[in-house]
Amino acid sequence: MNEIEQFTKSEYKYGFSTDIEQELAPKGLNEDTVRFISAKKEEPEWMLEYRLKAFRHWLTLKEPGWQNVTYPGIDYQDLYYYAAPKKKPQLSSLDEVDPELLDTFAKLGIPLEEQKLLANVAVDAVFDSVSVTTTFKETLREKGVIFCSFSEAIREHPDLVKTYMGSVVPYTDNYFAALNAAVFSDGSFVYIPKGVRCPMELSTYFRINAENTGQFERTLIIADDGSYVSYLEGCTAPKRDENQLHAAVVELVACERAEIKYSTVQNWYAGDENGKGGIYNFVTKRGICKGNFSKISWTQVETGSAITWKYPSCILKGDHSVGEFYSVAVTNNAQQADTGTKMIHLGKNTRSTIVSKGISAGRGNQTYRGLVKVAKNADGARNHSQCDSLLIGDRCGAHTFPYFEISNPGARVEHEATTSKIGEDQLFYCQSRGIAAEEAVSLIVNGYCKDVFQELPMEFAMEATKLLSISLEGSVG
Amino acid sequence: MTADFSQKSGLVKLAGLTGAGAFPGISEKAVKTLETLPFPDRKTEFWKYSRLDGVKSGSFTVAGNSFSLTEPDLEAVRFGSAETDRIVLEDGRLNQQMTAIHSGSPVRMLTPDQALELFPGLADRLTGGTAAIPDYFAELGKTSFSGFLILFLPAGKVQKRPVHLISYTTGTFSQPKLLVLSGKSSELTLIEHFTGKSSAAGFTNSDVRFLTEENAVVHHVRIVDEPAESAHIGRIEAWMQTNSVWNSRVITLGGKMVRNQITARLEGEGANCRMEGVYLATGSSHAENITLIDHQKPNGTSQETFRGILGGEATGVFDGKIIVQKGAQKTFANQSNKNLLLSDQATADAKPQLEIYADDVKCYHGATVGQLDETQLFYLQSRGIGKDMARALLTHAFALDVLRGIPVPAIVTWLDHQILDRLNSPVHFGEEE
Repeated sequence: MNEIEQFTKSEYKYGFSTDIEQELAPKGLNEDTVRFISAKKEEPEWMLEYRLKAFRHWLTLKEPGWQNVTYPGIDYQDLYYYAAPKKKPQLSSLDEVDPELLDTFAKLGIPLEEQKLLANVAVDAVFDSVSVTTTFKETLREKGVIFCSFSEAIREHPDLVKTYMGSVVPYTDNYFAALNAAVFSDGSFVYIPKGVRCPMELSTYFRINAENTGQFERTLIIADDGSYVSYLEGCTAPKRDENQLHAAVVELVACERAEIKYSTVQNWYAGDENGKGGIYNFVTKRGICKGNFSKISWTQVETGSAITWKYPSCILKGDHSVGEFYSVAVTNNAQQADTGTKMIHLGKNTRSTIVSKGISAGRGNQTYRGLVKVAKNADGARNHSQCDSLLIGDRCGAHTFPYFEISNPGARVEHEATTSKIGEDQLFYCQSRGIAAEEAVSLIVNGYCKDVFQELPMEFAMEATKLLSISLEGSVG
Repeated sequence: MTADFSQKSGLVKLAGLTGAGAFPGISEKAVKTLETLPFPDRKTEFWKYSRLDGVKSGSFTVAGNSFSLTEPDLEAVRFGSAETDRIVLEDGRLNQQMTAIHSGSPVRMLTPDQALELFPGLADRLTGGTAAIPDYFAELGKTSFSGFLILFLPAGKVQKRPVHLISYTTGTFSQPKLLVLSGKSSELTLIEHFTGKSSAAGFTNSDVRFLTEENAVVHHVRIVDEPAESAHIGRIEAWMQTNSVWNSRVITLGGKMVRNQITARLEGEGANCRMEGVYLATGSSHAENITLIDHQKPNGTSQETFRGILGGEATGVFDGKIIVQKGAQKTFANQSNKNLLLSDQATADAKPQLEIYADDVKCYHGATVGQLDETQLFYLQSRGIGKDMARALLTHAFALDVLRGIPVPAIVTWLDHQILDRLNSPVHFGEEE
């Protein structure tokens, strides 16, 4: 089955970097760096205070060691904490954007103009750390939707930011959340007012560009009573030899009867065949279903990064609230992933669903780690989790570590997990019908991931299917 | 003499009491390790759900040299009319007088030196710490070998009478140790029965090891039913050779804090392991099962089933890991954990884990937490069965998956009665009737 081996050996298609003048903060991390970032971004005093508090707390923390991934220690003093394209005058149309930058986006397959017209998607492109351009602002503004960069939100909507930032992921939450709170560069901010169904899918394209720049975005999405929003996050990054740290924080707040759908396709550089280079993706993502009947749904397709380490979680505080987690994670070559979710049931009649599909090939290692917690007062809580792992090749590993902490007798919690390889009989069947081995594998794997892909918005589902085939190229043999 | 875990110096004194002649230096080394180890707390993943406060703050009496057990004390732990070979440990020391092995039984007791001669490599297994992180209580166990009991069943022999090993506590600190050596193609049924009588809080820190040679079959049943205030931390480990069978059932019925650490290492090809358990905890007690099934060679199978029944304010923990090592192809492993919460205040924590490094395997695990089905309760009540009895019946049925697998019918009946008796009382459901 040589085809299958070739199948996994495909090179990272998005490995290039753009020469745009960058403004860097001095290397290393101390209070001055934090002040520098805050000053660069012309932030108000309260924001600087918050950063400094987080930084001082970070100093007291130790890097966690319980994860099932290994990597050489990160020298936090050897990173740049701020990189931004040199400040240009405020732009009013795309024509004024640096053509080189536009070219980068074109290579990534997101021609802004076209997307604007065809896909009806408002794209907030984050080039490294600063939002360069935001489209469809006008349309959104009519509805009262706020979709802007985090820095802009701090300037324009300080009350909202003050109220909600850190309310779901406080800076005391964990090592990387504290680091992010201290040095976050930029990110996206979304506010959907009461009763508004966001007219389009909001999307942001992240891109890590400058060498040695840990990128620390922060995303905050607030869906007020009875509103709905679907948010897409897609990622690609240029090929680099040195490991790059990515420690983002995403916070979601769903008020009464609100629904937030958060989809991610992550395809950052995974390092070469031997695991050299590649992105460290250590992200804290958490949403709170604050109001009754609210809903948060996470969908993720993780094919990139040398190490993926994240647990998009839901705190189900409102009665009858719903949390969902759908995940496909692929590890190939030397990639590692330790990912999963936490569903914390606090309200009555809360429900959660977890569907996790792991695919391990080459020397990849991956772990599903998840927590389902039902508090004493969460009467009638329901959870169903399903975690399946597919092994391709005999040098990879697949691990499942679910945690259950149940303190209410009315709760019904079920968990199932399986680990197996692609069935010889399935492969044989496809081949006997004239489907080549490689195609058959792709077919079977996509079928295996169907439960998750169907949760993705249309364009994303297409992209995910393609990504999956590419990242598994050459892995079956 | 007392054992006091709040003071390290007390422990060292304790260790000085006994040496282990066959394993020179082991106790001294363990004492050294203990000096560097902190007392486990919930920040350590391995002890995340444990409740060790009672042990940490407790001060336990260490048994002297005299024996006090009499026949009536053991009446309650007799399995009806079943004929067994009986071995009695009192506070971790062999009570010869109460021990009775039928002259026709092939099972023998060995001294450590005899065992080492028969099974080279045994010393390494017993003294070597395989765990990457030293286990505080395992090290503690190595400090004293005073009651070290070794059972040996020669190759090809079948022990027809079940061996009933009663480990009786009178509310002291004891560290019973047992090694079971099963020769090739032998067959043994062993019932380990931890029981006792005391109003004082005792602490048992036990170690049991099984070495099953090629084609050997071992049926192991452990019943943990110590006095209500006592604590028990028990480590069970089986080293399974080619095509051997080790079926283990650990039934936790009583004790304030019970932690069973059960490990099966499938070291030979085609080994077959069944690891099962029921944990029944009521009142404010805590029952915990930490299991590991380590598939090292191809063609192994394992079937793991644990059922938790939790009432009152009890907490139950299941932490089960299955590892399939590189090269252990064609492994089939299945794990199931179900928990029944009978009251509002009970808590179940479960952590089923799969760690797989081979691709041609089939591994499943499933875990559930829930309560009794109202419609089933209603059905039984409509047939004239009282509410408590109906609940007891349904709960008992929940444990049947495990109980019915025990190969000695008299023990199954005995356990049925024990479980039903304990359940048929409203206090366990945390409700006023």
